[in-house]
Amino acid sequence: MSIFSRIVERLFSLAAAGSALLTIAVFLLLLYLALPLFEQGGFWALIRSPWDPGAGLYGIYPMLIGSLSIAFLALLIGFPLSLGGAFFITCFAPLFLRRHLLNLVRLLTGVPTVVYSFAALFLLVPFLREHLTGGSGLNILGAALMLAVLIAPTMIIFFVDALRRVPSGYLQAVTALGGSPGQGLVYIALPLAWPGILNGLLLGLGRAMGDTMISLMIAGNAVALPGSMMDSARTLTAHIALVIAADVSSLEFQSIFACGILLYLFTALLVLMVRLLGKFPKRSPG
Amino acid sequence: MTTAMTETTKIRLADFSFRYGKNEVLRQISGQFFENRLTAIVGPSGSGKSTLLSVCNRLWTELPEAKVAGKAEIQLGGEWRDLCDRRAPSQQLRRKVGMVFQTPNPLPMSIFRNVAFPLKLAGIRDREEIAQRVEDSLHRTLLWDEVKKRLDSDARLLSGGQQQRLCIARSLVLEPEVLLLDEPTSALDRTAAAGIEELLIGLKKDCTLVMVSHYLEQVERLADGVFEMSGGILRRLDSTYSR
Repeated sequence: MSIFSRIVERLFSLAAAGSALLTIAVFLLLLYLALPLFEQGGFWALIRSPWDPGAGLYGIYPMLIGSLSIAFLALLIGFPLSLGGAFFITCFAPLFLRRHLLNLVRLLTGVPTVVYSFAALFLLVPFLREHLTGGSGLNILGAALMLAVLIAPTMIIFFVDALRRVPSGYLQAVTALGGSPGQGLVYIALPLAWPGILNGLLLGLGRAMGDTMISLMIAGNAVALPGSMMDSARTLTAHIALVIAADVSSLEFQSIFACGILLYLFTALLVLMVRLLGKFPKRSPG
Repeated sequence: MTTAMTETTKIRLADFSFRYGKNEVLRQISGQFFENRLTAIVGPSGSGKSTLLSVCNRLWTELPEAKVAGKAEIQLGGEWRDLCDRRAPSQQLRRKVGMVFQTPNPLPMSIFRNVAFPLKLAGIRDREEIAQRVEDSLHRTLLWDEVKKRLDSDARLLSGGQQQRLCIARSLVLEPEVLLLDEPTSALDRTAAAGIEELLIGLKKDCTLVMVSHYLEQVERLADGVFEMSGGILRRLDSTYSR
């Protein structure tokens, strides 16, 4: 190996190690900054307590439930939409349209979330207020609907990629045997593509959990525990954004680091699951 | 070909052209393929042989840029069907016009499920009927004795020759009237190819066979009629292959 190659290899190794260390450092920093809160009652107490600063309670349980309910509802709405979109792009759309549709979906992944939020605020929220939920129209359902639209392009791209990896010879055989595109999809493509589809699903969930702007603008930000999807809720990310804008030193402020730790752990868990899925043997169709 | 006038025509082409994008692949070709005969199509690579096969079971309709002109028809169940109509339903037709590809393409499932798969596609659910037809089909392709004890094994673990016979069995399970074979032995060794040849000779009594082949010796051994495809032109070869 030449000296140049060795230098380049070292540089790349350093860059990789630096990235890993930075990620760990962020986690340690979050732990350090949340330490005063932990000393008060421990981490588990914090994520199980309600939020009532007047009574000295800085629990983030309502935000955790708000985040989880909005993210999972968004996934519930977004998954079938995305799977249908991916099926259409892969199998059913006219060929000339497939490329354009996929380009459009790729473009949508780059649209800033604030644009989605504005669209929701001026179109979706009034509709929900007048026809479905009443009240302010700022609630879990609205945020989840808009988040579903936000995460759908990411999921579609993953699903399309997974479906396209299915060897074309298999699908050609199905066609030649008198199978319809739908049968090829259900009997062959889906069973072979499911690890990729699950990957997309998990990453969509991660994106829904991590989004700030839509939940901040649409979910209503109530710190009470939501009782239904028509209620307002505050997510972990929205809580961070709201508190950081008003405070920089109190125990209330330090609660945002606990939120950060939770989001960090959740994302790490999702990434771990995605990695583990890659190691699963592929299921045989048929 | 002395017997042509007395035999029943299964597929007929008249001034048929096939264009893919700007490329004219088949140029006003005419010809007939006869029932219960093996017709071979020979010619250099890229001359349009496989395209002609894809016309015979309407696989060409899956290619959006493909355009056809002229006349191409197939007789199934005593009825003539237009092969040029892109909008005509193709699934029923393909169940009666089987296709075996150059490279064996067993599906990623067990041997049994591979052969039973076309029945599933056709909506047949009776387990006994499926089991019986799978067994019959494997018998017809001389594969039963080799695989009967491992029907649940992954079909992709079979040898190349066995895989190709499995693919033929998979087509035969639907009892097709026509079987299209696109160089079915080109990916196989001599022994495996001999097994396929033996099988094809036996199939002629039930099926009309149209085979693309590069091997003239093989064509001489098997074919009842031979066409040569060159530059998109189909030409019937003077031959003594009629048998």
